[in-house]
Amino acid sequence: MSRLTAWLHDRVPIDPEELRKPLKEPLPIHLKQWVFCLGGTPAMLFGILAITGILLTFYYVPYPSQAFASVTNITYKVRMGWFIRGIHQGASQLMIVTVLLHMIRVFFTRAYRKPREFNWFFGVGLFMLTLTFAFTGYSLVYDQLSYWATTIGTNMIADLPVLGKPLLYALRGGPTVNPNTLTRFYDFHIGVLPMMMSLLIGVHILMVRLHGVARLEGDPREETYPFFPDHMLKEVIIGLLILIGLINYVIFFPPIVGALATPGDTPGHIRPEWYFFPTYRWLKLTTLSIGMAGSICYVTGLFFWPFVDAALEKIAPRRNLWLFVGTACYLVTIVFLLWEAIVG
Amino acid sequence: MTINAQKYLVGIMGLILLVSVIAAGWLDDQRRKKENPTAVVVVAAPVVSADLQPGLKLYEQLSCVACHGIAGKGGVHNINAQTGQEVPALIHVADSYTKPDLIAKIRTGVPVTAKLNPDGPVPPLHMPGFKDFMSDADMDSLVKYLYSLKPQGENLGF
Repeated sequence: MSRLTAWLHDRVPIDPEELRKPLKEPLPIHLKQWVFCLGGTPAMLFGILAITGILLTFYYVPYPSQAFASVTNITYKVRMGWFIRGIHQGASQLMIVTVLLHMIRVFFTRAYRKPREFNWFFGVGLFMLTLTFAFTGYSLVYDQLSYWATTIGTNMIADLPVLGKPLLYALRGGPTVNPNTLTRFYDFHIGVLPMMMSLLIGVHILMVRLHGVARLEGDPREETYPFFPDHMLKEVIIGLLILIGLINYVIFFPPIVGALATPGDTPGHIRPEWYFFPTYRWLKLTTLSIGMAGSICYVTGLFFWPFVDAALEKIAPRRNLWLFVGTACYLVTIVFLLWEAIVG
Repeated sequence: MTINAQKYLVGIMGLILLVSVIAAGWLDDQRRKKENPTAVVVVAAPVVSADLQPGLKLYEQLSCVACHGIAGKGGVHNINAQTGQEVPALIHVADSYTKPDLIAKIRTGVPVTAKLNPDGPVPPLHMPGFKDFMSDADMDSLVKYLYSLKPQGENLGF
């Protein structure tokens, strides 16, 4: 032990070997396939979002009279403001996509089964948080589209049973979207949600470490390979690919600002962001109450899917009912998304 | 893919990333030169007398302040707009508009902002018309407030 290491060790009595252990963790050989490396991507994107988000708060003013002007200021005047805003916007969209892809991979490899049910809960929780993040962030722009998307999005809450109306009032800080709504959404976006997200990501990773990476169903191979440097290199490559893609996307498609939010002047064609298209299309097909009830059932089913899968297995062993139900749900979601995107 | 190949790939991607960041910086310089930016200073709203309060409240509630700035001082950037690439200030409306003209302007708005460079992009900001959500009393209060924005002691003309 060098003198410096010994000096440090006296003051921080942690064995460096203990710290290196997680780096050397053996991983199942199937993780060498790129599709199994998607889990780390949302965490990287969260890091990018945190850094760009902090930079944006230097210039953003969360009050209706100045929110739009400050976004315009960031986009057109602040040095590299357009770039930071573009990266933040792009990373948020990409985060939703990568979380979805990771969930689909976990679903179709059934990595959520006993004893990993809790980690599926945390995963679905992270997905919900990601959507809430995107929703609150979008509303901060305070242009016509974001103002009315916020109005529609929060209106849906009113139809939740029992708590709907008080919750809507608490969220908006009044009967309509008003200055209080913006400051509340801002608080959530930069305070409450990042804290919850960091905590859940930590617990999610901890659970993976505690249980170890799930073995692939039907893969007889017993070989392993080390996390560092082999797997780490793959994650670095994905991280770099994301950064290069995002930067070039922003260079070629820099962010713009829409028309200023004008309460009372409802635009002819309003709809939420693409990740709410399936829900929005579903709500258009039914009455609001039935639509909300259906959405709640869908989300509850998603949360408790490991137990639903186990129940289906008991009802009809080896019939792969999980695959039929799961595929049907995914297909319906994709059809609704495309339907809304094309027909509007 | 072997570990060595992956290491080379990381090196190449690192270089591409560096070039991309430099390109973004260069592009930012170009944008700034083209758009001739000036600093925006966010200042506290001025105190106004009681009779002007309803007008000031409307000025904020209807989001006029978001584009025309606090106390109508302007300064919000509007790329390629004929009005100096900015949303015009309102401090001289008392000199430029009669009361009926100003009311007509607020009612109809400016649906299309004139371009500075005809081949350039469409200016992102335009003024909406407020005829459907303002009563005559509201309009009077707002116009009174806008007229009060003229700097004290300033007298334009010959």
